[in-house]
Amino acid sequence: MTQTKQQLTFEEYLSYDDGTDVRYELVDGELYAMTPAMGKHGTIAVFLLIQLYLEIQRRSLDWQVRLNDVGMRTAERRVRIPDLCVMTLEQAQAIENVAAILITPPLLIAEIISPESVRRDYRTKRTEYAALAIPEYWIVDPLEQKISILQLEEGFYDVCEFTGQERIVSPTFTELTLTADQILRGV
Amino acid sequence: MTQTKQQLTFEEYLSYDDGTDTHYEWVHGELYAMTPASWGHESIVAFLFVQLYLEIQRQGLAWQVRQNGVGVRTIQQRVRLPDLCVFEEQLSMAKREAAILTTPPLLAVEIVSPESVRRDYRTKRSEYATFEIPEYWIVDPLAQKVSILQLEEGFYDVREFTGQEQIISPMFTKLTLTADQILQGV
Repeated sequence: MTQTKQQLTFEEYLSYDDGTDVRYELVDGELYAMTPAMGKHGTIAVFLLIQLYLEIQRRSLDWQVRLNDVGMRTAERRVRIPDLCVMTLEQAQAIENVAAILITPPLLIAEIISPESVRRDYRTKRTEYAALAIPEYWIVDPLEQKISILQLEEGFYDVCEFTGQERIVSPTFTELTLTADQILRGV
Repeated sequence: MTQTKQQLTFEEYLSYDDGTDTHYEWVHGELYAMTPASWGHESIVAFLFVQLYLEIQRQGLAWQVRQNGVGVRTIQQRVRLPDLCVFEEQLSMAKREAAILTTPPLLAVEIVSPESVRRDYRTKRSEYATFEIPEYWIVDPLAQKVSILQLEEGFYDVREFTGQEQIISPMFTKLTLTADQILQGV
């Protein structure tokens, strides 16, 4: 993630186009480019997308899972783009013909850690997603080989960590049977 | 803190006046009345106000400490009224405008009441960190401890102080107060 010095309002951010296909987060008026992550990052993201997609199908839930294209407006001049996000069909329809930025909390967000995002994912985003009242936040950490599932309880996240052959426990996807290792290997 | 069901926009909240002197926080369009707290709560607020005021004077800082009257717009749909807050004097503060900070204060302090425990330790911890308030004190007469939360990359780290321990504040480095002094409010 690299940073430009240009100052933008939320409205300018919505219509920003620099001719590249780069996605940007907006942090206090500044653009942070979402540069390509390491290959492992993508493997895990796709694996999770498919697992959650199949689970939603299996249970016939009115939910949608999206990869890396939905923004969260966490503050006045801040928009975050999580690696993965699960929202209701109603939320998906609300952004169908406008910029894909949710102002209501999605059901679940997942971030996959890269070396440069460690503190941002564990600290800054933990705070911002809680303030936005997102009920569940997964931090998938291939560096430390663990998965943290954060559950919102009165505006603050409690953390459960899973490693190795442990089966993850998700309050949103209660019937999901995945081990930490499966997710971390992405297979 | 009691809650009304009326839905207000931010602008309506700013000019809201129900004829009482009640202060309200504003959360997702709803008003939450700040009902009078206990005497113990008020004596801690008064004690800290005086201590912080004197410390600011002693160091000749261009800071102000305010009691319960300054709003903090923590995120889009919320205005919180901390029990105490310290901020830098700003020329831009027009005397007639609503006292709502749109830039983070230096310090926010909450005194815990029985009904605010989870709000002070959890919800406001997330909101104040999102608003990037560098330091947040939670004074807890129920658990007899003072927690000092310091913002580090968008998340608060917590240090707790009890009894005769001297509190350590990164914002007020020369302040010499023990947890007990604050909790007793004398």
